[in-house]
Amino acid sequence: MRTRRHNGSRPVSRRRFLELGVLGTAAVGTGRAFGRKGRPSGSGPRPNFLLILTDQQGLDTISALGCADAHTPNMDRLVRGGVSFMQSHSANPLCSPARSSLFTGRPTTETGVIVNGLSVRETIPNLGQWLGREGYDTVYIGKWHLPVSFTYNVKGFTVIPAGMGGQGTLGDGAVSRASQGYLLNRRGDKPFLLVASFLQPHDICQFVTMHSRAPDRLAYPDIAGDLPKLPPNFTFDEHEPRSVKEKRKRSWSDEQWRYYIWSYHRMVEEVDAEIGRVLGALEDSGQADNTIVVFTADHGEGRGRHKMVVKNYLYEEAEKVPLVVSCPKRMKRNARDETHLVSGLDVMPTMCDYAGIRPPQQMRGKSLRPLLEGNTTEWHDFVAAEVAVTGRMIRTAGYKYITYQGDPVEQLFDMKHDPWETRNLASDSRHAAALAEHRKLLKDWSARLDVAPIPESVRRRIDRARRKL
Amino acid sequence: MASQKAKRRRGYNAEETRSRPLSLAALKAYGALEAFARPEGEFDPAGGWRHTYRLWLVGNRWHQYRGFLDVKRGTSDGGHSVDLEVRRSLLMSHQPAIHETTASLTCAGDALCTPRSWEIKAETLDITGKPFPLSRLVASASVKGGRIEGRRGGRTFDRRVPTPFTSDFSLFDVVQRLAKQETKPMRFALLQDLDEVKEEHVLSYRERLSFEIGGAGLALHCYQQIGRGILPYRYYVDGQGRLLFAISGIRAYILDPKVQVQHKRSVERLARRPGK
Repeated sequence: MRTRRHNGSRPVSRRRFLELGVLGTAAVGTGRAFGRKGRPSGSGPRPNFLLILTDQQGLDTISALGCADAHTPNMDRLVRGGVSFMQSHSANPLCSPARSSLFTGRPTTETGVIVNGLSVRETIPNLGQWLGREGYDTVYIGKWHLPVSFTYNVKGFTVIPAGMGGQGTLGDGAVSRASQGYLLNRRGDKPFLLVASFLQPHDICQFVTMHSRAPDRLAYPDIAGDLPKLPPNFTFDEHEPRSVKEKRKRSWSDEQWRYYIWSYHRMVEEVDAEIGRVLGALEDSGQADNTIVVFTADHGEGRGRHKMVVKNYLYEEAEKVPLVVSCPKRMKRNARDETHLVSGLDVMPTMCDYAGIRPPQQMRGKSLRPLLEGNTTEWHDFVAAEVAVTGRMIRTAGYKYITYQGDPVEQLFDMKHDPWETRNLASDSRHAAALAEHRKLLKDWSARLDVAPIPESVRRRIDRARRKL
Repeated sequence: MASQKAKRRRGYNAEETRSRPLSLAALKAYGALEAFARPEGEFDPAGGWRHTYRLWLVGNRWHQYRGFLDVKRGTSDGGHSVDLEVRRSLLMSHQPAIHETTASLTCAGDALCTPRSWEIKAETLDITGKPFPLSRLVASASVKGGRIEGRRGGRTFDRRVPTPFTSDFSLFDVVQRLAKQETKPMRFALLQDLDEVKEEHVLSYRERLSFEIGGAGLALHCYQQIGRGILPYRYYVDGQGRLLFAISGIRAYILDPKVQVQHKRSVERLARRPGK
């Protein structure tokens, strides 16, 4: 029988209790690097952090960033109050892997979370552990998925259990209500890190399944005139790796595709309303001026681009995600950063920087702070992403290179002239130099990684997948 | 959830059922209507009534009971005011917790049952019913001149509300009083859970239909609601206007006066299951 002890409002299992005890006496992971950075004197109180996560939200779904089909007044507020990164990439466009990188600043090959449902490697500390040890009140509400989607046991965080697996439409209301409650009820002087982790618009996965055999006619004829247009890359060069082709199994009519995109935007609006509830509570709490709000998502959604649904591949619709950082008194307002390549790996270093805390060693991302405050800085020449165990992407300012280990088909896109990724230039001799350069970038990046062991069960899955190729 | 044997008996085909949008027929195939009993007796939508709905959702790999919504209506001020008492209880996933919302609304006796003032409490409870204190939200508000003024978590707030508007709770009353034929659609802003404004909503008559359940046909009228921030709703009322079912996306509300008994059992089952 399990035993529980209460730590504040959190039920704590015996195992968890022992873990907390261990963490209290031993440094997590690379303990030598642990410690407060010298913060400049007179820099004021340490900021709070509100990390708002959505699930399966592509970058271009926010009305203030140009999406004409969704109405997102609350995300728009964040956009107006801060900096929106228009070249923001998921480290791995799948739920658990992307989250492992967001919460550790490490690529998924290093966290060990290369597919859904795995835990982060024990030696790598997460954001909650790192900030919690520096005096932050760290609270987690909503989807976690490392390894369990919804849990009351997240290392480094006090958990307020709220949310429903696979059912964002009702569960997210509980997440926003609990977040609202926390912001309005908290007492004391400690700075906080609150993670409000929503599931929507992830319900689109159910929508896709539930429309596998779509009806012959539109379910709601009244909306026929409101359906969004098909994307410009609905037709494209299908010279692709096999594992990407295999994901494309829709037999919908154009109208059904448009209805699916329309429905997805309603789900984005649904989570927008939940975000509004949390932002309203932050304002009511009197802490808004000293709280840095980071809004991002784990990965995007197909939306008919490349005739794709859902995620787990490396085209822009699946791997580009919103990243908006807002705190009007500390950074630029209503600014769009169109040029810097950023990824989920940069979130944790940014928070450490603003908290005045040295980040863990081997962090692969960089603090966004100079970009947020309009200062010049050296920045990444490229971002890398991984997917589906064998997929790798290198994105530079000019090109995107995609390869799947063991698959002879590589992809190279000229992102300046073909931003919708419609023409694969990998076999075009005029781009041979770019191809070679990107292959080398990937090789060098891969060589620098501290690769986590792969669990035997996952290894067997990989072997099965390779045999299919 | 129905047993495998029961599913086989009614010819349930998981793949076939899951590959279609949620509908009354799909609910029947899933077995979600097995506990449904046709309500008997006279019903006056404009009078006092109490309806409890089973909340049922389709998930990634499962479909299941998720909680209930209880709505009680009364009138005062000679019918010029409508009082709604609402309780919603939701089972959270993978964790022994319940999210509970209770609300008392005083609404105008108009077609939209427009909220005039309300109190709402929302909190997360552990399986024994003990609240997580930090999660509790208590708010009260009233509408004055197109603005909502109130207190939330001990602090005052004031915000604009588009007009006309109604709440998602009020709609459980509104649809029962609509004409059972095609009429001018109602346009409004939705105040979801009494604090989330969702605009451009349209409620309209959709169709008359007969649905077979328990070996006999059930005459129904269907209304649909389309708007920002929701997947379209279909509300199904019987000949007297009684709301029996509502479906939106992956969720369904099924009239079931006994659902709170099942809810208690579900909570007890959850308490016995180890959390993660």
